Amino acid sequence: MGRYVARRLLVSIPTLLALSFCIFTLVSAAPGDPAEELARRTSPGGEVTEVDVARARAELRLDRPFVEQYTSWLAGAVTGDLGNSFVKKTPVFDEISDRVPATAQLAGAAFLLVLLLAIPFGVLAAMAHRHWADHGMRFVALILASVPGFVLAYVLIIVFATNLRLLPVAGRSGLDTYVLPAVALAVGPLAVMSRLLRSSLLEVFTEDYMRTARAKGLSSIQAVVRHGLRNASIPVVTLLGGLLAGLLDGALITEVIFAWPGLGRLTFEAISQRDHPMILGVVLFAGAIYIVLNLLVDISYRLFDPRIRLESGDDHG
Amino acid sequence: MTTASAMTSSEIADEGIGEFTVRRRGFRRFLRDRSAVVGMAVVVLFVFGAIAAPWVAPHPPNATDFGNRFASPSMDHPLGTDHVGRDEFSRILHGARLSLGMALAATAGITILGLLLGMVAGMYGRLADSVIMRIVEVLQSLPLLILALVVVGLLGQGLRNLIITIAAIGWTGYARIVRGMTFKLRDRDFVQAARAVGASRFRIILRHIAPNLVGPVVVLSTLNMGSVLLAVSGLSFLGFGIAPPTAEWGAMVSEARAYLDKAPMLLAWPGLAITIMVLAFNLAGDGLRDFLDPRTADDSPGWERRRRFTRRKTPDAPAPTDLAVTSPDDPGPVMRGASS
Repeated sequence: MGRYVARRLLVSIPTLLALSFCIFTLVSAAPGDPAEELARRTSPGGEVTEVDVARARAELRLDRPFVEQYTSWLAGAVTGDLGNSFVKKTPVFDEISDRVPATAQLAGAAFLLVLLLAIPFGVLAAMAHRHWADHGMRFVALILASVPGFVLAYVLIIVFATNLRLLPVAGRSGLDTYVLPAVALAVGPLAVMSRLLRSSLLEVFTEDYMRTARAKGLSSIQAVVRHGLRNASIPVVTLLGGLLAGLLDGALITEVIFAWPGLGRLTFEAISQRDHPMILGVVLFAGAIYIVLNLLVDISYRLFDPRIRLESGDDHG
Repeated sequence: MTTASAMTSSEIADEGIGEFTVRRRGFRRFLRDRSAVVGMAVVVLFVFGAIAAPWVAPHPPNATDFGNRFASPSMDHPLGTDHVGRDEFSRILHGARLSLGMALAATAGITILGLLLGMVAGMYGRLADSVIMRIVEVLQSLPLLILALVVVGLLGQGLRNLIITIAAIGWTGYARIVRGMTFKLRDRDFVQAARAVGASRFRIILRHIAPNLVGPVVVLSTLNMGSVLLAVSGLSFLGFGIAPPTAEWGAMVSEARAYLDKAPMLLAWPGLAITIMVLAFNLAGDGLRDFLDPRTADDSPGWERRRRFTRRKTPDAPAPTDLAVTSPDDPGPVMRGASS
């Protein structure tokens, strides 16, 4: 187990290195000149001379050769110093750690919503197999999985915020501000997860131990809860990593829409402002989080199914 | 992905990849699957609407009429007008050209990249294989929407950049499947024969591997059109698609945000268009999946057993049409976040 975790973490190092190099190259080659932008922002009248731009370029260390820029950035990154934001001048690391709680809470709330609702919906649909309720749930799930997140977010805002005035439109302060963004974020994955649990349960229903459970006198609900759910959850758990990733990705659009002060909005702002160190930092951070989450999910398979051996290799299908 | 597992099951492999013995019966079943037929019909309708937009649309999409802003639906303006008096219906129709066109172009890019890299990895093996599969692993272990946003944000706004970005990031699942299928094909007699008479790897790919893979992979990619459309409209909603005056669904939603209180329907129409289109792709895709997957044939034993347990008996066991029937081979949604 320990060796497995160590190996996985080791393997992730080249991944992060490759990622940082690609993004660094992309950032450097991108159209638009951050030095000129900085000069324009700092000069009072908006008038910019060649000298100003050159000074800004030197200040941002953009006048150095590419390789030197990258290696010095990398040397800093290894020690946790991701450089300073071009725009705010503050350390990128601090900006990111300031934003982490907001995104973690939002994604966590959505994750809980998905888990708490997907299980009853999945069980219900599987037990009502071919009943009208199953068909109805399939239809609703199909629609909910097809609505783009940003459209759903605005539908929620129009209905619950501007018309019914039940919940705030945007921002992050009280508990009520969490409701709309978390729901907007959770609905799509919820639809997919409950359908997945349903088909997984239907597979399990054909197993002999389910018949045995019924034969020894358990009611169908008892049989499903005690014997079905645990076995059916394995393929679902393999997708938890995807779910978490989807929530992180989805948080980007959700945060922009709901003015949520999290990592997603930070990313969006950094890209629109061409804040290179911030872009690099955020992408690298997201990549690292993503890798760790996937590792945790892989480890958690074992809790659900002790038959799975982690040491075997990289493909846990 | 059930299509892929259908390919790899040995009976089908004996018939040749891309040939489906159950095709005719499956097609009848496809027609009987009402939701798949409806989905297909909607797709066809929208495609015709998109093609015919310049002749069908009642008004030019960018003709403003400041005396007639926020008009309610009428005979002249079936869906009303927007904040500068442009006809909403005409804009939706013209928007279909761009939205569907971009989704199609991105899907084509994804398919071509996935096919090429998958076949090279499968046929050339060793160095090429490990390099390509390493890239696949790296890309698959990253948050794709964030990556897409960064790439398109840095390349700059625009149609072409958006399509390039989605293709560059979304091909990995296809490459995996194609590689697996290439491995299967490589051991078949006709490839061995070609190799025995001295054909080069390149020639084998071109003449023997590719023709057998193009069909199934194209089908696979049409199954995924819905998620590509979600990714395209999501990025264009964030402002990385086409520049504002041009009608495009994602951009129209974004434009309508400012008038949320005054005219919520301006946001609802393009939103509805995207939703209906994605739903139609998903329904048609589900139907296609069943049509191509012999496992869901009516007399399959698994379904008999399942029926026994679930007590409710229906005379005909319809194919299981699920949102996410997944297996390790599933390329998955191209960009997960865009749908959530």
